[in-house]
Amino acid sequence: MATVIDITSSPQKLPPSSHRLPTVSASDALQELQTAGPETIATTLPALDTLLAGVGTNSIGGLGRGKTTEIWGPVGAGKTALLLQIAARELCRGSTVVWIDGSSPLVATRLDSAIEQRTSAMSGIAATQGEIVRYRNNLKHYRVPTLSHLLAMVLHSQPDFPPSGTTMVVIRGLNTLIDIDYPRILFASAGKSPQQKWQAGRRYAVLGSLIAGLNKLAVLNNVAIVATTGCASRTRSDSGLGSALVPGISGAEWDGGVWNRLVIFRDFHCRFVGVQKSQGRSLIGRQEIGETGKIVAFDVEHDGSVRQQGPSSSLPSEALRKSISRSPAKPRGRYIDEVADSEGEDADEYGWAETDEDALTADTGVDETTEQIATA
Amino acid sequence: MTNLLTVLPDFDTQPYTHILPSLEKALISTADLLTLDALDVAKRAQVPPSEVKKLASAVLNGLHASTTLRELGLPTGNVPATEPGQYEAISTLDDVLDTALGGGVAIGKVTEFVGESAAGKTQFLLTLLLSAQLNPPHGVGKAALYISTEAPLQTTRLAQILDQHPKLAVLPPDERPTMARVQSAHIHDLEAQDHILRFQVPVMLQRHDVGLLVIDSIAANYRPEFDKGNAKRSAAESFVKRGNQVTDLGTLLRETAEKYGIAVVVANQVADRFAAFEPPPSQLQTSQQIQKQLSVSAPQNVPILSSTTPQGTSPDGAVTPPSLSTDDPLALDHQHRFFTGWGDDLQRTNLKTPSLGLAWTNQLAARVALVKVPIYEAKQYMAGEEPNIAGWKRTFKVVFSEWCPSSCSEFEISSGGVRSIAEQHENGL
Repeated sequence: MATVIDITSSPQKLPPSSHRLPTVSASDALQELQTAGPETIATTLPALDTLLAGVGTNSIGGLGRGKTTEIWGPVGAGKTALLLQIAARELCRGSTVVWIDGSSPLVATRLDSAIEQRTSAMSGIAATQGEIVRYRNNLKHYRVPTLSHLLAMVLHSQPDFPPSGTTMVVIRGLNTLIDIDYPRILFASAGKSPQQKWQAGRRYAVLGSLIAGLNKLAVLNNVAIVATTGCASRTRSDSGLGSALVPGISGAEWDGGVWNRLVIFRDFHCRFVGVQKSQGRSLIGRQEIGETGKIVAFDVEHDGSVRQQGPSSSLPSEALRKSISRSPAKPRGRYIDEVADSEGEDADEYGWAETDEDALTADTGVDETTEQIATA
Repeated sequence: MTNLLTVLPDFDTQPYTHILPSLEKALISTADLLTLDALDVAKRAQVPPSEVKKLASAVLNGLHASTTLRELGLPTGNVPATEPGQYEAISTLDDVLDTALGGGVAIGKVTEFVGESAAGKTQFLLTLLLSAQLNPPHGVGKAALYISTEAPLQTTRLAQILDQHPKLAVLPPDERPTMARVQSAHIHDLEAQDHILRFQVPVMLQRHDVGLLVIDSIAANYRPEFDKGNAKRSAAESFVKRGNQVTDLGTLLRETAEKYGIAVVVANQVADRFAAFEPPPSQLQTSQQIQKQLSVSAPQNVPILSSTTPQGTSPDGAVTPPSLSTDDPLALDHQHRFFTGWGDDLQRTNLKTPSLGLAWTNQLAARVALVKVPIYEAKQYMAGEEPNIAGWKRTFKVVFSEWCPSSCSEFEISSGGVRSIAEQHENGL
């Protein structure tokens, strides 16, 4: 890390209350760059690493250190399973991992399984109980019950946080913390006092402060920060399609500050990771809700291990991806513009407001069904 | 401030009583205090900035002190640690189902049992009320609290299970669970629900040394509350409001489970799921197809308006790369096949969706779907005749869980409670 030059040893005597300015000479910094470890953390899925790598670099891709990655997706999709594999790999290499649980504490047995799988994958022999305990102890586990606890930890971090040797910081369930303190409010409601209007915009402002603070923490400590953000739903009435899943956290500042965004979702036969943003550049259009970006297939075995499916080469097949066909005839009315302090007006989770109406008025469907059974 | 004592229950507000009411009025929350400059806060609430700074640093100290490094896996609360590799759980008293659940219903987490009426939810809940009283590893040796929102506790059936369950009947009298250690309460409406869960339940948990909290069912009190919108609020606003209520409820239950080291088990109802398009006639269950294997045709999803229709192709394993089954993989209609418990099996057409939607699903640590499918009598039916239901095939499906992998097991309901079908075969019955 940066070396601190002791200013008080210089000829000019400064008052003792002045803060020491940590500076590093250019030659020292270059030295460190050449001898420091890899700048990325491998994701254990080779095709995903390739997708996350920069164009024209010879570095191996993965989750960038000094950056923040967002992973979102529905419950049970495999976010924690993948994160555990990545964390276990870091632990088995001797690094420290900080694991912050925002909604529900991690189950210890899952971590032990992941460590066991990683050690046997890396060395070919099963790990001893002592080894597992030793690696497990490198995981520093925190349970933050509220957003304020997380903000205290990250924005006003104590000097010994994160501990030295940390390469990765995981924040699980960030959307849960945000939703408790700043629940979604339907923006277009009249009759609000100025304080209420200000309060309604706080969610996005706090998210902006949070991502700035996370990025700063990541850079200063050269760690990769990964935050999981669950999912929410958003209607897509302008394109004629039904509701789609979207990240549990949204907002211009948050979206802009995240370096990579991955979506993990399930399908009938395996699971997929979609790369929606990488290297700081969004790979899908702003208005394209429901686009997954380039995808990599994987599966979670019964014992929790994660294996990539499909071609073993690290080039993801373009054929896996078909773009969503949208209705061309419908004129694009209002965009769901994401101004920093507003959200789509139609914060209609699950699309119930529409489908309920449809269900009540759709008596034609029922008639067809009974007719067909009768004539079969 | 609006949530200071929720965030830091032990915070001493005495030195700040002169500025707290102004901060409350300006709707400043604890998180705002930590992200805004003291000067901005002071200007907004019209209080002296130096006081705000003092409050902010006191809050910060309190937060740092309360977020300490934890021993991984140990629940907070006075529950004894188990052997390494075992997760604390309350057994279902059936070996196969316990294995499916990785030991049973986990302590410190919120588990949901969801299914149609008469699917078997109450049977499982009643069994858990008894097994919680057993000593580890099957239970936690504590009492149980049953909160009903519709029908009161079925004491007759509970007594029957206690009497006839094979694992309970063989226990000596001093180890047997008793009805006396099952406390029950009733909640009539949504407001009472919040008050009882927030204030009265913690008192009961400690007074009776409770290790399991059961709420049967969670959705009942929400139905009359969900209005389609009136002059004051639009339907969308009502819906958002309900989403927030459901989120608050989930948070409350999770906090209760963790703080008191108990298992929280919740029963939920289902609604029929209407597909956006009617499936083609080949997928409807006509009498001929009931006996035949239904061929897997392309899943009907969200209407695709272009000419490229998705064809679901099953992967050949290592030969061809797995492909997406649909053009619109993140559509809610497609994704909720995998987290509701219904829809991930293409042969089923009678799909259900758990109540309270995605907002509630996000609150759960685990969901067990009890899927009930009729078994029709195999005989020649006349045209237009309704097929006779010979019986039910019941599946215990772990849809998602924070501590165990997903799985499906068949079970049946008997006089002694619930038991898996596989186990029955093993016993040679």
